Amino acid sequence: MSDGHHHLEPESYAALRTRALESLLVEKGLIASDAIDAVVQAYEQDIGPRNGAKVVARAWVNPAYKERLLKDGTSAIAALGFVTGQGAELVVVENTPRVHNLIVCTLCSCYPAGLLGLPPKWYKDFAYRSRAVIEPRQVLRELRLELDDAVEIRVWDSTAELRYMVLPEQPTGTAHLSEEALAELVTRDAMIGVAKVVAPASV
Amino acid sequence: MNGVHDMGGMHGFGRVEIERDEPVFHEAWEGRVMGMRRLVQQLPGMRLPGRPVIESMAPIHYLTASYYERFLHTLETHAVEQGLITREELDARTELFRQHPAAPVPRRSAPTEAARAIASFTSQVRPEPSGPPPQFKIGDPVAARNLNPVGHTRLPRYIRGKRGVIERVNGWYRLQDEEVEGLGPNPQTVYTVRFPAREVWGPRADPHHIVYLEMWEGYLEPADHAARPSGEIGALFEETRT
Repeated sequence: MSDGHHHLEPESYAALRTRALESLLVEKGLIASDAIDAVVQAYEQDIGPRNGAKVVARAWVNPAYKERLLKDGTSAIAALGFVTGQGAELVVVENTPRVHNLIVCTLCSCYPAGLLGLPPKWYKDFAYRSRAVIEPRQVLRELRLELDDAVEIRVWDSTAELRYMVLPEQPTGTAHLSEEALAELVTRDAMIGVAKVVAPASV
Repeated sequence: MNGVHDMGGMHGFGRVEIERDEPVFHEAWEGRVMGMRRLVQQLPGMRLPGRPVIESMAPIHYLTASYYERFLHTLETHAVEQGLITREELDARTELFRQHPAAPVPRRSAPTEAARAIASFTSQVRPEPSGPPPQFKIGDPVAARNLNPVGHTRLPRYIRGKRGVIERVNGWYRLQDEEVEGLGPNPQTVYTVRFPAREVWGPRADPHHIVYLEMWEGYLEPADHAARPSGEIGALFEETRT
């Protein structure tokens, strides 16, 4: 909540402006305070990369599901109760030893929000938006993901009404893990394509 | 529009820095903005395309505003343009909170509105089911038209005039260039088009780097890749096809 706080420093213009907007829209009966609370809570607690991780783990343990996911992402995730967000269609792209996929939105910050939540700051930053399409290998190297020169990098610029998610490679030595345990390994960054999924140290 | 938001391929923005254990919102007001934006969009009769508002920000403003400040700008612009509030009352209220930092934000409770807002997160609405038959098929050589519209477009500068191959045919979507202006609907097939980096960024680009973009049919024209000087572009496409 933004109201009722006593700050030692004056509030930023953005914070003041936001309070002013909220007070007017609520006063006029246009929106409800608890509806704002509910949306904020959904973003903070319910909609996040755990959704995508469940999809990835299901695809790893179930070849038929994986095939369906790669063919029609939207219906495959609906089967697990998920949507892409913003009414968009989902395209899932698979990483293999020879192909590495990377997702970006150069024009704004389109992102499969229903599966991964709100995008992280770096995804929206100008550095990533400008560089991912022209020097992806360099960007990945800076993020400590070194790919062999022979690995093809496919960069997906989300310019229209589709959203992408990367199906990362299942780390070796994890075939015995349960679907739930596998889902715990899958990170947001791996589903964007700036990281790989790593096996737990104990495996 | 050829705006500063169209950043693909630009240099000079520095390193990509991933923040470990990043919170969803760094400051409370960011969450309130996202909540209000979602709710205002769901008010009846609202037509609120956000991207043209953001893209029309003065370049210096766009570049210095944070992501959520750009959303705040959009929310404020829409609320005023749609007649929900006036700029004057917003300015006055902002000044009131500046002078009285402890003044409370009024609260109104409406559980049904809250429930509706939450339900919207799991609804999948696909606005335009059909349109004219697709002009291109998978594997067709195409080129991105060199278009420079002054309004909103999803055709980034870096791809204009470049040649690619149809990778996927994705069904029909309203052309956003017109949709955001209140024109149309103009449903067109959207294609995913495959562009080798060497076609986009020149001969020094990584030969194992491919860029894919989604293109409305009107952004594309047929192309004959083999007809280029010395057939080099045709070879390039052969080389990168897997």
